[in-house]
Parts: sequence; structure tokens; C-alpha cells
Amino acid sequence: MNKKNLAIILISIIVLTGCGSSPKDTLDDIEFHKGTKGLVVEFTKNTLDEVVEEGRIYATLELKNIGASDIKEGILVPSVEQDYVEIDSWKIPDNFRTARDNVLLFNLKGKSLSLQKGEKQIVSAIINTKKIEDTRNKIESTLVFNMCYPYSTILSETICIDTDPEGLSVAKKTCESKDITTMGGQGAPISITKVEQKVIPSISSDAVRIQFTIYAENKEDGIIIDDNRYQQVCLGEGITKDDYDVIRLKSIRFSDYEYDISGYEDIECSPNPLKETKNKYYTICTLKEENSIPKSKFTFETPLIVELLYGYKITESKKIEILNNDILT
Amino acid sequence: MKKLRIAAILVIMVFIASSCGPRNSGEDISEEDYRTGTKGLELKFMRNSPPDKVYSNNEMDIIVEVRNAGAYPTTDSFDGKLKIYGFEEKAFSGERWDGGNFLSPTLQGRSQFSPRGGRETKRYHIDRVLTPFNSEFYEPTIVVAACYKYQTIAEPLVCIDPEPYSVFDEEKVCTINQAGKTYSMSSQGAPVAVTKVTEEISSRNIHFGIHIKNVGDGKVVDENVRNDCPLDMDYNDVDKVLVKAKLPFDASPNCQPKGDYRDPVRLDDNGNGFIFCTFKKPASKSAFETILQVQLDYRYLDWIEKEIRIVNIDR
Repeated sequence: MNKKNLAIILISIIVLTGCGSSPKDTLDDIEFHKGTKGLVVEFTKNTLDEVVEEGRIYATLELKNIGASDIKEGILVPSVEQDYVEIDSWKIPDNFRTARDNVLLFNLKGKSLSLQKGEKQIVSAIINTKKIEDTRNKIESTLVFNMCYPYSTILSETICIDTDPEGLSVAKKTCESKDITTMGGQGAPISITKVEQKVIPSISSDAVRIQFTIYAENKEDGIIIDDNRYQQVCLGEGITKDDYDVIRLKSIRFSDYEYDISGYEDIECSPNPLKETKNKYYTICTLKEENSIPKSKFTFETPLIVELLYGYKITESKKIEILNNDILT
Repeated sequence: MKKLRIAAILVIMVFIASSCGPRNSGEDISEEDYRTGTKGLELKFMRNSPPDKVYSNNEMDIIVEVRNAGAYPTTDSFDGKLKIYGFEEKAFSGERWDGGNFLSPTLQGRSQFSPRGGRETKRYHIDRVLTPFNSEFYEPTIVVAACYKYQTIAEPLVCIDPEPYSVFDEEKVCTINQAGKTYSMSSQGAPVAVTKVTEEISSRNIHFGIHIKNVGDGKVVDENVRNDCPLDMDYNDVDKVLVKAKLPFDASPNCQPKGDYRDPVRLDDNGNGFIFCTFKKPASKSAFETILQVQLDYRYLDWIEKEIRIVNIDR
């Protein structure tokens, strides 16, 4: 075997061994509840910056739900300067539908094992430009699209339920109660940044209660709105300040205990909606006295699932120039 | 020159051959001292049981190899059990030990008949693992604890000199000076060891101070907590050792503490304990050497742990 052949074989081996997927790429290791994005919207490159008067332009938007929750009945509200442009119609996919005033309603699936990048759709607003004043060579107009959608943040962490905070038990404990601090979000624009955990005494000396203080923050540039009023907020119908900064605790679950906003309560949670202080939101959840955990249940680890509900509003805009036809000719 | 070279090669071959063969070297197995070492049971997870990662709705095995690396018992009387804990109960369904969680009575310690000690493999089978609340993953730490009765036998050779201050007998087998005598010991093939014995002679009695230590990695628990061990014990149940000491001529010394169920030796936070036993003097006035037999009875708690990751692929 000459040196040339040997070199080829060696290079082939290196290439082949480098082609294998790393263990981190396996399907089961993908964590969807990561990141701080939900719906991401941007104009596509083929949306022109210039258009002639009495002409037509396609404003094409790419909508991607790259968060971990599905969007149901999201709303897209165009806002254009009526003196210069008007929306003629929409080109939309099947899971979008038009409502009054050229408003779109849409569903977009979030990330899942079968849809690892989340659902993406492209919509085009067909916009007619109006005649501009003869004295103007061109005018600038802004196309604004507001998107409002209900979304949820789900935190899933393994926590320690330490039924022996005094350390009186003899057997080796697998864990000790501690606060959870999360970095990088849970696949949603609102992140649960911290969960403080306290073991508090029960009236019965042979049981304990657990208390969680849950903190959340808005990690993106959008606006938090009431998930029950997000469509009205986007449409600008009867807005009050109470429509903003509303994050509800939908549920908290661990071991055999659950709080659900619909009325299932082993745990007391207050305030709900979460209270805002200095751009952070919090609520305190305490296991009810009658649900105290007996100390006979030895210290164990269990998933803690916290789900927040809210509405979220984002805006995408683009400036276009409408050119006077006479100038062109 | 050639003969010299052949001779050298032969010498080297003989040397190599003698070092490669089984080490018999006149050591009769039966003569080996098995009462050494600080281990009781050694626990080990079998490879990939439990696995580092398991998918939801799959079955899982936790297989533990249990080896009795100590020197107790020498009959089929082992008494111990395993317990698995640390996880959320609803994460496992259809879980069970094959043949129950008690270890076999035949799990004998090391002896001439079983130089490496008895060995048993126990399997905990789980029909289905889940991530509670359909969470993406769940990462519990699985603990397998062994709680078992164990015994330490220490037999230091001590000097019995009933008349230590006698100046007439100059041919004594052994002597005890005015400050007494100290016998240092290390381990006796068990996780609790007699580490030191001190001896003093008074006008009427012989006094032995017996120092005990938890030399293993686990916890010493009350011999009586068979059912409550390991999860239902509290600090009143730990660090208790029953001690029996006897000499050939006095099997019922007066000990402080008594070393029985009601008044066991209590180990301190560092695992050290002490018992002081007063023996009658023998009838003979001559000095002689004999064995002080010390028997420690206790229950011992060892554990191993492993973090696993249950991945929910049905999300």
C-alpha cells in the first residue's frame, strides 16, 4: 500500500467517524421547554420596500411558533394608514381564517417531538396603494401588524420533598429541599425564573407543609395582556389598564397534590393573577393544612409542574415608500 | 560461555514460573484469618440496572449484587433486607422484588469454606416507568439500602497477671505494669470494630476498657429495629451496640454500660464507643495469657444510590 492510499484511508476513517450523531442529538434528549420565544413574526425578504401609487404590494409575513405551547385562536390585526394603502385581501393557509376588517385568526402548533421546530406558516396581505398627492414624489407609510395570542409557560423540574427538615431520620436522604433557579426560559416569553421552597410545620407534629413562592418575568419585548381579553386588546376594544400585566397561575402539581384555577385545590395560591413588583411577578402557594405530608413518607424527589397562562402581544412593522407614478414616467 | 547463558535462561524461567503459579506457598486456606477488614455487605448495581436513562412506559430492572465481605455469619443465619426509595411512587407501577426484599439466610460471611464471602443478586422489577404529570422528564435518585444484623468477634490475646506487683516470681509469662497495658487492634471483618483494649489490675479485679468504632461507611442501628429499618427509625434507634465480653474464668463481668438491650453502648457522633468491664481475678496467682472474647451485636445500614433519567417520549 503506498502512502497516497494510506492517506485516503485515514481521511475516510476520520470523516466516517465524524459523521455519527452525538448522543445529545437523540430524540428523547430534546427539551422543548427551553428558550424565551413564543410566536416570532417577520417580513419575508420578498416584501418590497417601494411600490408605485395605485399599485399593489404583497406584505408577506412568516409566523413561527417556536415556543413549547400551541397557539389557539391567535389574532393578527393589520393597522395601515388608510389614506395611502388598503388591504385588499389575504393569501392564507388552511389553519388561518379571516374575520371582519381583514383581521386574521390562526392556530399554530408549538414544538413537540413530531414538530421539533414548531409550526411555521406564511401569510400575505395583498395591499393596494392609493393615489398620492401630485406635489409629492413619494410618501412613506408604515405597515403595522399586531399579533395577540394566548400562551402558557410550563415549568417542569424535579424537586425534593424533604419530610425531615430537622434531619432526624437515620436513612440516607436522596435530596434536600432547595430553591429552583432557572436560566434560559421554558419555551415561552414569560419565564418562571425562580421557585423558592420552604418546609413549614404542620399543626400535627408528624407532618409537614410545603410552600412555594413562584417568580416570573417577561423575557421578551412583547406586552403581557389578559388571556381572557387578548382579542379585544389587539382590536383596541374597550381597553383598560386591568387588561395588561395579567399572568394567571393555571396549575401547580407535585406528588399527590394539585392546584388548578378551575377549582381543584389541595394547595392555596395567592395572589392569582400574579402580583407585579419591579417587573417581576410572584405568587405564593402553600399546601393546605389538611393535606400536610406525613413524615412517615420518606424524603423523595418528584416533578413540580407549574403552568402560567397569559396573553401576549407583539408587533411587526415595515416602512414602505409609495412612489408617484408621474415621477417614474 | 554458552553453558552460562543456558543456565541463566533456566534460572529466569524457573523464577517466572514460580511467580506465575497459584499462590499456595504453604498457606493453608483454612489457616487464613478471615476476621479482617471493615466491610459487612458490599452493594453494587449491576451494569445498566438501573440504566442511566429510561423511556416512559418502558419496564426497568434494578439489579443489586450483594456480597458479604465480612466474617459473619458462618452458618445459614444471615438476617437482612433491601429497601428501595427516593422516588415518587406514582412514577413506577407494577414494581416488586423477585422473591421478596429479604436477603437469603445463606448469605454467609467469609470463611474457609467461602473465602470471598457469600453473594446474592436481587432484582427489583418495574413493569412501567412514568414521568408524573406527563412532565418531559423526571430525574430521581434511586437509593437501595441494606439493613442487616451483623456481629463482630474480637479476640485479643491479653495478659492475666493477678499479682502484678509481686517481686518473687521473675519468670512470668507476661506482665502488666503500673500504668496498665494497651492492646491495639484494627478490624475484625465487620463494619464495627474493637479498635483498642486497655487493661488495668486492681487488688481484687481485672479491668478492661474496650474501645469500639464504626469503621464502615454506613450507620449502626439498634439490633431490635428489624422491621422499622431503614425508613421508620429515628435517632433513638442509631449508634447502639450490644457488647458481651468474657474471659475463660469469668463469663459474667460487671460492665458499664451493661452492653445489653436495656443499656447498650452508644457510639458518639464520630462513631466511637466505649465499655468498661470488671472481671474477677482467676484462682491462680500465676500470670498467663488468654483470649478476651468480645462480641458486638448490632444492625447495620449500608446503601448505594444512582440518579436515573426518565424521559417522556409521549409528550
